[in-house]
Formats: sequence, C-alpha cells, structure tokens
Amino acid sequence: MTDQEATTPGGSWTHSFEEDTGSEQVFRRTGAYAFPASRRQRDTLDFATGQITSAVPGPDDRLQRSTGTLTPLGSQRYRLGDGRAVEVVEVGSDVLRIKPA
Amino acid sequence: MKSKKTPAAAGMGDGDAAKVDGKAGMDGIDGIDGAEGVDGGGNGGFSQDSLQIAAQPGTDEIDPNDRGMPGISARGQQQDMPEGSMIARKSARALEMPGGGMGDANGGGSGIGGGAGGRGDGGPEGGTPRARSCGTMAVHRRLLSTNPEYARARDRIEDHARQYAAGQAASQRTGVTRIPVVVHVVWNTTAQNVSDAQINSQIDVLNRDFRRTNPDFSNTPAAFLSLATDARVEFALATINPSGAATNGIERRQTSVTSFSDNDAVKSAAGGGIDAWPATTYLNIWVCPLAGLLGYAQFPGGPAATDGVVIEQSAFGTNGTAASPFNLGRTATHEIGHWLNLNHIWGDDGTGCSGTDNVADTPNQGGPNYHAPGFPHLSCSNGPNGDMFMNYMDYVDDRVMVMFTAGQVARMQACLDGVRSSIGTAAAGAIRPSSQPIAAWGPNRLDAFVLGTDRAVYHKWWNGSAWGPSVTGYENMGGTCTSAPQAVAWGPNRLDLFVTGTDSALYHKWWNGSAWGPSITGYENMGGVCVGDPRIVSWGPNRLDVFVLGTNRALFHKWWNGSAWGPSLTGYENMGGVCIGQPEIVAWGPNRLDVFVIGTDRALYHKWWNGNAWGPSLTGYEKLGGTCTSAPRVVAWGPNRLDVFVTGTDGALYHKWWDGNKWGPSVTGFERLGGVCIGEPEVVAWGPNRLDVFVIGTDSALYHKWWDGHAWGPSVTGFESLGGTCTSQPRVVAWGANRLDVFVTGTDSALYHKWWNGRSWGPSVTGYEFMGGTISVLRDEPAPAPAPEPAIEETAQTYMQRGSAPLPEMTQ
Repeated sequence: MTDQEATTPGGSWTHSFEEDTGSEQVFRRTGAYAFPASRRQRDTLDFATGQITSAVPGPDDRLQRSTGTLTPLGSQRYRLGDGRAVEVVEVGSDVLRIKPA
Repeated sequence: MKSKKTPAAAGMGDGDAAKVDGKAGMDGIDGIDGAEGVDGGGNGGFSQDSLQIAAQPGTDEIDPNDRGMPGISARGQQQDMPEGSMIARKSARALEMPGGGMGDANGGGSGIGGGAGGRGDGGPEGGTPRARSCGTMAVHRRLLSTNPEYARARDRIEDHARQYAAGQAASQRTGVTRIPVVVHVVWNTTAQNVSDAQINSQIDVLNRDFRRTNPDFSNTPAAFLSLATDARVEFALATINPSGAATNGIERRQTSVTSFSDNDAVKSAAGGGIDAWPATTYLNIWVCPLAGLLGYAQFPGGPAATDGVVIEQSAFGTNGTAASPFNLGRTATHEIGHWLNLNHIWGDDGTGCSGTDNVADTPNQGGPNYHAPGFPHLSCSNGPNGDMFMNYMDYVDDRVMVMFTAGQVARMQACLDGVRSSIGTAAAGAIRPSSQPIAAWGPNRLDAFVLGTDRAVYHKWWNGSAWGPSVTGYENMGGTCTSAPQAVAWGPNRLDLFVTGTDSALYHKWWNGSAWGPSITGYENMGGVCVGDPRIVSWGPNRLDVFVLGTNRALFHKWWNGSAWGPSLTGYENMGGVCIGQPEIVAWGPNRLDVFVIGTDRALYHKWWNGNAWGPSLTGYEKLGGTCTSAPRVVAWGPNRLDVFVTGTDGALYHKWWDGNKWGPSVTGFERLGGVCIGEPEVVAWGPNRLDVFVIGTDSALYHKWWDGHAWGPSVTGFESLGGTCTSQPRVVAWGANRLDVFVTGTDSALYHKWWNGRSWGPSVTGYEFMGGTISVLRDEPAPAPAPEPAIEETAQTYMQRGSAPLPEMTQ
C-alpha cells in the first residue's frame, strides 16, 4: 500500500461536528456510527460518487437538502460544492479529519 | 322572497303521527314528593315552604289554581323584576325612529371581514447556497409555488399578523384558549410505542411552556425577562373524537415503515401512518420514528389533511423513550410555535442578518444557535445582550429554551383570532351555542328540525356535499309537538333534540352517531308542564343543561351529567322568578352557565352558574334593566364575554355586553342599534370579537348587521337588507369561521335558506334557496307580553309530573 492509498478516503462520511476541534472537522462512516440526535443537520461527503450532501432546516423545520460536487484537486485536497478547498488530515477505518486547505 | 316558491309540502307528512295529549301523558302518575329538585332556600326569589303535589290534569283541564311548576308558595324577597326602562347609550345616535322602517339597507355583503391572515413564509431561502438544490424541496415552499390558494392564504395570514404587530388589532380571545389535542402514535418497534405517561408528560410541558409556568423560566437572562410572556394557550387530550365518541385523545398504529421523513407520509393511513383529525377542531401531533430530524410542522393555511406537527419519538415528552438533550419536550413546543405561525428567531436566512421572524421584540440574529451557548452570544451587531438563544424558536438544546416574547404571543394570538379561529372554541372546545332548531355539529354540517302541519318533527341535513334526504325532502321523526324543536350538539356527530308534547311535558331524543334514540320516531319523556320552548346548552362533552318555564312562569332546570339526569329523569330544579318569553342560556366555558330571562316588568334579568353555585342565588336574579319586547338573544364570542340583544318598546334593537369585568354600556343601560324589528333577533358569533345579528323588518324582509371587532356594519343603527318575505324569525348557524347559514319560512310556509361563504351571499344578496316543506313551527314563542296574573302565587300546588310515570312514546 502506498502513502497515497493510505490517505485516500473512500465511501461515505458524515459530519460528526460534536468532535470538531479548532479548524478541523471530524467525519464518521455513514451508517456505521451512532450519531447523537441533533437539531443541527450533518453534511455527508461521498467520495465514491463525488458528491457532498447538505441539509438546512426550512422555515417549518422540514429539511432543505442540496447536493454539490466533491472535486479532487490532488495531494489530498478537494474542492467542495461551495468553492471551499479542504485538505484531508487523517483517514482511518472509522474517522476522517479535514481542515481548510 | 326570491328564488323558487312552491307552496306544496314536498316530503312533508300530513299528520299521521299518533298525538300525545295531556291525558295520555299523565296516565298513572302519582303524586311525587315535590321537594325533589326544588330548593327552598333561595334568598332572593321564591321560597319553597309548604309544598303540595297534585297530579296534573290533562292540558285541556287546567286547574284554576294552576300557577306553576312544582311547588310554588309564597314569594320570597322580591329583589327581582321591578320596573325599568330601556336606556339608549349616549354614543348610539337615534337615527332610526320607531315605525320608520329598517334603515340604511345597503344591500351589499361588504363589511363581513375575513379574519384570516397572512403570508409568513419564514423569510428567504435558508442557508448559503452550496450547490444546486435537490428534489426534496420543502413542502411549505412547494405549496407556495404550486398552490395559489395556499399562497393567498399565507398572504392573508401574514397581513392579519402584521395588524397585531402594528397595534392596529388586539387579541380578541380573552383568557386562555384550550386546544384539544390528538396524538397519533405510529410505531415500528415496540419501544417506539410511547406510553400514555410519556404523552401526558408532553402535554404537561406544553401547558407550562405556553403559560410561562415552566420551572426553568428563571433561567431567562435579566435583559430579556421583561419580554417573556404568557401565551395564554393550553392543551388537553381530546375527549371526543370526530365521530362523537368518547376518546382518550390517543391513536396508535404499528407500521412497517422503519422510519419516516418529512414528506408527510406519517399523516395518512395510506402512507403507513394515521389520518389527521379535523384541523378546525384539533391539534394533530404525530409521534413516530423520524429520520434525520427531531420534528417538523405545517404553518397555518395549509391543507387540513396534513395540518399539525410531527415529533421524533425520542424527542417527545420527558420520560419513556425521550433522550437527552431533547428530553424536556421542547421540540413539540417549538413545532407548535410554527403551527401557531411563529418563525425561527434567526429569520430563516441562513446565517445572514437580513432575515426576519416578523416579530419586533426579538433581536436580529445571524443563524441558529445549537446546544447551550454562553450568554451573551453576539451576532449581527446585536450587543450587548446578543441573540435571544433561550427562545423556544431557536435551535438550542431543550434545557436552554425557556421563553416566548410578547411579540411572539401577539403573533400566535393573531393566528388564533384568524386562520385558526375555530380551534379551542368549537364543539370540542369551550364555547357552545345554545339550542335552536338548526344545529351544526361540525364543519360543513347542518341539521335542521322543523314541525310539519301535523306537528311532527321533520329533519333534513347538509352533509357537506348534499342535502338529505333531498333538497326539499324531510325525514319524519314523529311526535306531536307544541314547541319549536331545540337541538344541541355536545360533540361531533351527536345531537340532542328536545320538544314539548301536547301534555306540555318535555320530550327528548338523540342521535348517537349511528342511530336515533330511543327510536327514530320515539321520544324519552322528561316530565314537567312546560310553557313555551325549552332551552338547552352543553358546556362540555356529554353534558346537557335544560331550562324550561313552568306554568307559574318560574324557571326550572334539569341536567345530564354524562350518566344520569338530575335531579331525576322527570324532576326539575326550581330556579325562581316569574318569566315571560323563552329563557336564553349561554355557556362560555366548561361548567359555566349564564341564564337570561325577561321579567313581568319586561326588564332583563340574569343569573349564572360559576361551577360551584348559582349567582346571585339559586332563585335570585340580577336585574339588567330595559323594557324588552322580545326574548333575549345572547352569544359568547370568547371566554367571559357575553353579548345580549333584545328589542325595545320602539321596536329597535338594543345591545348590552359583559366584557369580563363589567356590563356595558352600564349595568342597566343598553346600546341602541336602530331598526324596527318584528319578532326576536337572531345572533351568531363565528369567531372572536365577531357578531352577526339578523332581524325581520316591518316589511317582513330579513335584515342583517354585524360587529367586525371595531365597528358596527353597515352603521351603528343601519341594517343590510337581505330580501325575502319571511313568516318566521330567522335561524342562523355558523359551522366555521366566516360562514353563516340562515333559515326562514316564506309566505308559502316552506323553508328557505341562504348563506354567507366568506365572500358573498348565496344564492344572492336577496335570494333564497327553496327547501320545501310546509312548516308550522320554526320560530320561538311570540314576543313576551306582560303576565296577566299576579306575580306572587300563594297556592302551593305543583303540576309538575315527576317520578315513575309511564313514558308515553310520541310514536307514529
């Protein structure tokens, strides 16, 4: 396994914002982690499909979902749908950490 | 009378009912202890000292000593019924002179305002656009963009709310609004089938949060303390379901759906959930496994089938499956805030500072706050106090939310006065109309009862789409009656009908949702020898209070407490007085009764039941002045509010009111409303601070005036002409907000109908829908005349039939 392979995230990851530290955002495997209930909605990064899915509460609390493209920029950097660039800091079997590039 | 006129008695029988005469009704009656139901301790009316009972002769054999219902003896202290005269309010200009006809008929339907209100779409699209939006557009926005009627309804709702926010309108509901709640529990796993205790814990939270009695209220920062306000709303699990049956207000269903989303599937049986109950009467709460969110709501003005709130089962109530940090019931408080038209406190513009919650006393705020911020938390230059993150309409954890502001309460009350004006006031709520020949037990439902030429009761009904049994046909319900039928509904799909028979006894029948009791043409004998029409009111589910006048013209009372008649099936409680005309009864809240009668001096008199005792005493009355030529007509458009209408000796309409603290314009004064009225006025209130008054003019046409919350229309003393040549007093019901249905008889004795649909009169301003029949009785007794006999009756003799008399069935 190369370093590149070791740090390339795969599959779907959901934001575990309760674990964020400083500028680093923490993600956990979608469907494999018991996220606590929250009024705040969680973004999902799907590296398999290249999509980022977000949801914000509407005026009546129904979810207003949106999707964007997760564009690889090389060197573990990606551009999110809103134009922000992020860098993968750590990829483990059950945790993904990113920070602004 | 416009429209078709057919004098034929379409569908009406010709007197084939076996008549019930007085003798038949009296066979086998023994003397019964007259003390039953008669209180001798009245301190202002009649005493009940030496009581003798005699069997009632037939109605054609009137005993010369017959002056009354059970047990009349010496009259007590006569603090009731002295002289009085009608006093016109100074501010009411006497534009209409007696005999001058009905004035100011403008013929239009204008002025019947809408009480609905406004837009309130919650501000601009939330969130910073990250990318293209996916197909799951919020239902609220989809409805706004695809359903023009919903968009218009939201505009009206928001316009209405703005009037309250601007101080141009004020809350019209005095006191507390109590909202009936149905909880639909939709569960997949056994654990999700939340217990009754968990449901009750949620109701308890709502009743604390919306009354500002939540124990954590003390956590409100001092800077915001003065803004925290009691919303004056309470919640109670429904006790009557839409079919009229008793309920605990909880429905349960196991579903194969493992978790629901915000697509409303849980709100229908077809979607794996449970159908909504009528939104005009109930707050629907669905509790279910909900994926990805704790709850969602539907703003007022949307489809009734999906009206209500949905709560994730683990964020519901305070025990059972409720899980921290959402285990204090605040998700429901927040969602019901939306249901009452509150917006998110940050203005639904993502994290920007340009959005608004349409409430002036909440600080401008960036985005939602989560978890438990420290105070102050600043955004949008809102220092020094920062965000009002402890408001129920933010997104913080349950333990942090503690308050609504005064501005938010005004917005919720505007919603209750407008688009949700029927909630908490209708059949399942507090205020119920007193009996009359026309009843509406639910939205878009009418039941009309009339007497045919054979004096049998005939019935027709509107089921929301058609008249039954046909437009001009009637259902024969038997009997031979001497009073106008009096119908009352204590719940949906429930009717109780009262008449007097030829023996002057009171008779009763009922519709239980599926059949008439005791049979379609049979009646339950309730004893008594009644003068004039009975009057019935229900102050709560399965509760009836019946008032009649005895032959001595005293007022008598009996009641159904849900399981038995009091004081007995055929016994009555003597309430004293010497009354003329029909008594009027109003219940503005549970266990509250207000009784109005006209005395022999033609003054208006009042007594009341406050839940514990009769005031001013069991047999005493409060004098309210006037010289009245009609029986009083009284409505309550809100708790602790009464509006009384009578006609004076000049034929004009007069009005007085109880505002919760005092009588207006004074204890014995009246506001003059003009006109020259024939017969008795009819009054209905379809919403808070709304009155519609109907009278017959000297030309026999129907006339209308209204109070819109601010002024009388078309003017203080003017009336709108609604045409027709009427031979009965008008009968009017409102089955919903801004809806009126008017019934009169024409010169051909047929029944005629017209309606106000919120925008216009149907079939036209002066036209009527022909409903067939040959009606002998639709109206009450004629206007009261002075009693010819002495008011004080010395003979202690009763003619009230009591006890175990055989019950003559008024069958055909």
